[in-house]
Amino acid sequence: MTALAPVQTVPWDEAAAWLVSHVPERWKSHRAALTVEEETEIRREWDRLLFEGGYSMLSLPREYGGQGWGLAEEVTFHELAAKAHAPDGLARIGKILAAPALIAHGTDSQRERFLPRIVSGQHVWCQGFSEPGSGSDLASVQCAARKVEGGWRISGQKVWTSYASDSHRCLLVGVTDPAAGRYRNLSLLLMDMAESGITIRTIRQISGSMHFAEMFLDDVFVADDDVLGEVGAGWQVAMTILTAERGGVESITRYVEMRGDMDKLLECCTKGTPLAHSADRLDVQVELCRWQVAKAVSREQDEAAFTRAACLLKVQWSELWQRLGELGLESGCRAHRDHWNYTYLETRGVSIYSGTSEIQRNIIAERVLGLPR
Amino acid sequence: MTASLRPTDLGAEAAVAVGDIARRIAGTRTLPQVIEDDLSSQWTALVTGGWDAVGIRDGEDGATLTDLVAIALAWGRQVLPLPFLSTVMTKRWSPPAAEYDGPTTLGVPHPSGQGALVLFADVPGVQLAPELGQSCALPLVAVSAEPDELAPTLRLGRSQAISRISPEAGHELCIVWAAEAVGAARRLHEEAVAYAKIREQFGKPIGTNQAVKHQLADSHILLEQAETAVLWACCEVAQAPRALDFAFRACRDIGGISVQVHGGVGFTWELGLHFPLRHVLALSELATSLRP
Repeated sequence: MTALAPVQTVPWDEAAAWLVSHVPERWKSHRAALTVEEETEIRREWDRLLFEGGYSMLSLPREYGGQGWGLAEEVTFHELAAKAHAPDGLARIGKILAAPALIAHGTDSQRERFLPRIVSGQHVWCQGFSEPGSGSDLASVQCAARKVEGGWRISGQKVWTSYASDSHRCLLVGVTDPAAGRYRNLSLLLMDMAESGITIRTIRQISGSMHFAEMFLDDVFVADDDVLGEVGAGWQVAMTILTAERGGVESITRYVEMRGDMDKLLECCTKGTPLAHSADRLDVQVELCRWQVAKAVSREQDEAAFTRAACLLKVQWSELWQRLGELGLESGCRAHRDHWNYTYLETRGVSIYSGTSEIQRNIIAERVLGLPR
Repeated sequence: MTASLRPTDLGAEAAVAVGDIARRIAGTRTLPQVIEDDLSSQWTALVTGGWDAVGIRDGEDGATLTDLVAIALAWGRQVLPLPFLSTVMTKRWSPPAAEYDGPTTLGVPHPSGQGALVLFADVPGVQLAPELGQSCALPLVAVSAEPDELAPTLRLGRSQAISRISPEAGHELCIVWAAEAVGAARRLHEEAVAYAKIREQFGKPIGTNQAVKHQLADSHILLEQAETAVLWACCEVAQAPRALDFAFRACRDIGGISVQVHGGVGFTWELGLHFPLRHVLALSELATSLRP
């Protein structure tokens, strides 16, 4: 049974059958052995398939090119995707972060220009938030935007930029008014990744994968039309983006990935052993992730209840995924040795990106529980 | 009856009303005062509104399981030593109990494997339902039991009277007990948050320290997950044992965090944090005793 009663009729049998017949075999069977290029290609192709199948951006309103379903349907679809062990698309930042920010803060022209290619998966987006000197303290970014005729010239450095080399656009936080106070000096710039002056250097992670990059920006032009929200309102726009990054849709897509790992882990742990007992407890928690999203969605009309339920999603999925990696190692499963070594190392990053676990707990303690700063 | 993550209008209304009544009964009493004072006269407040009969089903009418969860969450927060939920559940699953005007209860197998553990065994006028399930007709019986000290808020007694409980009734009982435990855990969590805001050490509230903040954030995470697990159990019968197992463990851990955040005073009998914590431990035991 799915976690939420659908609020509208969706042919779920059709969707489930579509997923089963379209998930690439190679992704299901060889995920840990894929090269970066192979993985990127599968994920890019998955975006295209989703769009063609009519399953891209399910909860985006129809007027913006989405399917116009509710969040409940988005959750249900991802439950099916998890069962089918579907890959995660390459266009995830555009879909999960840029689209809601464009709807909340964008002009009609920006929405018309950007949303169709986000929905179709043709355009991949990246997120230019972190800098070498600005990790958890996002408001301290230094990347400078200098006003010129018709736009801005950006100079500085960004780091931890996922998908940078595959991206068409970047959600970039820059300082547009160095004289203004903290939180009022920033703007959110939609930087065209084809502009001159952008140097991308891939960063290898401890797992060996290369999803991240650093970006050196040397007088890169961003047109006035490509400022998202008011000049000086970058902090507010960034908060919208961070909320989405730590929210329900992000979380349910992570559930899809974790479900695949969990199914593997259950195979690796011999029944009746203490390891199997630990795996069973983790399995309960993986399922709780999706039920937590479902509960949050079912509380959408009650802001306080929604916040109480949603504020913990990022900590919940990220730390749980780490425990999956740890137990995978402990299973000592020879057949999946590569997978568990990779997953263990790769999931060391999940409690750091999108806001560290420490920052997430500060947010829960200060903003939800009202503890003093 | 379709299980859902949200209570019906009846359930939402009942949860608010029952929560209000429980809050009024508790008034300004501290946790130990709730145990020390005689609250038996307060029973009428629950009966007058008909809330003791809220679980009785009549065709499609009556509270859903999710409704009962909402009610148990609201009730559990005050940790009152009154046989409200045991009455609601016995009236739901025993026609003779439904017709009885006073408080009713049940006996489950004692964790020691010998005899029964009866909830609210020493409440004046309480009657025990020997059978819970569809079409149960055995008449109610009086309770005679030796006191059991584990949870004074549940007034447990040891006796020989084990109720025969159908799998369906047992499933619901375990879920309602887990929801009640989450209510008690909410109390433990809220006490700790409130204390961290006012208790000062080194010239500032202890809640300004990240080490304390993060424990309370974890407590919030556990509380939310425990509630979600109970709702999950409502929706997927087959998953209920695993989901409830998680919920009870989370509630227990919330209790542990609450005691730690309170520091030395939290470890005293006098402060009374152990009452909701014992409530959680005992409810967990009761649910375990109904496992096939």
